[in-house]
Amino acid sequence: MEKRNQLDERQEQIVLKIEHNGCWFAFWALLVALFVEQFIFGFDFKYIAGEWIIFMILAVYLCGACLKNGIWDRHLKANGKTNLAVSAIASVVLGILVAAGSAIRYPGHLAGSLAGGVVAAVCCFVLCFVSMTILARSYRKRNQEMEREPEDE
Amino acid sequence: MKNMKMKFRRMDLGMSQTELAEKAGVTRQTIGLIEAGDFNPSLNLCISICVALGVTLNDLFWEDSYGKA
Repeated sequence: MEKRNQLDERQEQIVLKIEHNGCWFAFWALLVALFVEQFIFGFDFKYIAGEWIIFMILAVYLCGACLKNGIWDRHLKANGKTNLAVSAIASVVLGILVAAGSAIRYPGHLAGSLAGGVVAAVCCFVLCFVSMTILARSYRKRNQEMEREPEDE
Repeated sequence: MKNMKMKFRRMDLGMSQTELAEKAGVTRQTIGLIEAGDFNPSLNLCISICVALGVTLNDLFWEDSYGKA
């Protein structure tokens, strides 16, 4: 039995907007919760595995669905400058969080905390930049395929 | 429902989907989906397409069967 949509066009757009806001709230809230649990409270991975799996499924779904439809981002362009900027921001944020979390948990080891933050930041930068370069290349390839004129004209 | 009026008007002008997409400010995929009847454009996009093709909304998006029982 086909379900009849009870909403008109305007209501449908409002529901999509609400779902969009809810999705992004869940995404960022999960990320913050994971950071706090991992770096501030120092929980074992087994205690945060459920949240981590849901977060990764959400992230992979959002990336995969956008790439499949030849979409990159509303505001950013798929180029090296974007990849560099986003990777740098992510690595600085992660580095600060790791260093701060480590300093809170081990107050007497400031140098070690700083070193941990720097190592985490460098690893994050490399991973982010490489994965974003691969994704941008996939996006450009997919977009070119989709923008090709149909041959039946 | 396929929009053959839009497709034929575009072809009459010798315009590709890519060229029409550029004039209307959308991607070629969007034009292809509208012509194939797989995407309902907003009124603003309909107007942009009509302006790009030099026709009115009635010429492209109105069917004589509309409003008849």
